[in-house]
Amino acid sequence: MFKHHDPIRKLARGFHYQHLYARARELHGIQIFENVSDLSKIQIEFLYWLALYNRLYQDLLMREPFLTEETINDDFLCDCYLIWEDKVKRKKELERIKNPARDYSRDKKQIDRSSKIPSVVFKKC
Amino acid sequence: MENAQGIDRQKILAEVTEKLNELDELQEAEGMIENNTIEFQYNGSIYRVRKPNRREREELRLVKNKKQTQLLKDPDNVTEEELIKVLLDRSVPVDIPKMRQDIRTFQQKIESLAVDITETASKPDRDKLIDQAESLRCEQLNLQYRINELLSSCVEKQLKDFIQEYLVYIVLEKRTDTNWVKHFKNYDEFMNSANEDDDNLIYRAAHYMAALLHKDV
Repeated sequence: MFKHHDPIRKLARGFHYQHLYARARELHGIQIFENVSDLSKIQIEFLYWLALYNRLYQDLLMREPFLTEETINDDFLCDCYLIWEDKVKRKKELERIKNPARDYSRDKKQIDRSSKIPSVVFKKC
Repeated sequence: MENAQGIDRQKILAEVTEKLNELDELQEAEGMIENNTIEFQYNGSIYRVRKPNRREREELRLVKNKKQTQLLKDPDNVTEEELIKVLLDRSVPVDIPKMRQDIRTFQQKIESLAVDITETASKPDRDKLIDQAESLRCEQLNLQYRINELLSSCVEKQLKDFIQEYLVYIVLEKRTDTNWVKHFKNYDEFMNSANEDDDNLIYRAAHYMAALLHKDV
């Protein structure tokens, strides 16, 4: 995790390879690389990023919290989001499975620390 | 410099150059993933590195074992474990395990900041957190560089460097009119290459090799 732009990640999240990846999963005749076996380290890493960005684009469509297009397009913010997923989201999901009766509606929302508007909670009388 | 229409030509030029560099990087990255060899241009010739075959891996395994024995037989060489002890016993002790622990602590702090960065909506607040994470990462990297430098003379590091160089010697090929030929005919020629051009070529080849292989074979 560091503020830099990895061209391999940029290629993986781009339309061309995302489209190719989606088609390759549906139709077995489509290849992403010239070689089908004996993949190099960088090819395996590329496949990892292809699959990961594919999932993130799906999560974006599902309006997952904290995930934006800016997050996907910025390597650093994306790494932060993945750490958040690993440390917070997964933990909450596990908790939900273990304790389905708890009320999760008051869980943490995105914080806007710069806003001067006081937060208001509307309640039914 | 702005002209009459208020167009800043230098700014536009810088932006265009940045975009072109980005395109070059993407093109290079695409070239690196299209198959399991990597071709590159150097001084007007085309070279490539590829994954070593079974015979070459066997050759590498043998020279690695031989080199390891040779390094361990030399009483002037120390293993990483011994070197760590030597550094700790100095009049001004250098505590490598403590430095490694500090690296892990930095990582925990960075990850905690990463969670805050994701949960913070305001850009100025988020930028502040990003700066904090960046500076922690810099400190973490400096510590890692220092450890690498301190341990650079140990047997394990010498062996790793030797294997990387030997790999380049084995798999670096140059394109001729009809096919690919080994660039260095034998290991002596590789070791005797003294000019700066060869050094740069080996350096670039090693960089591409690292993208091909998971570990030192």
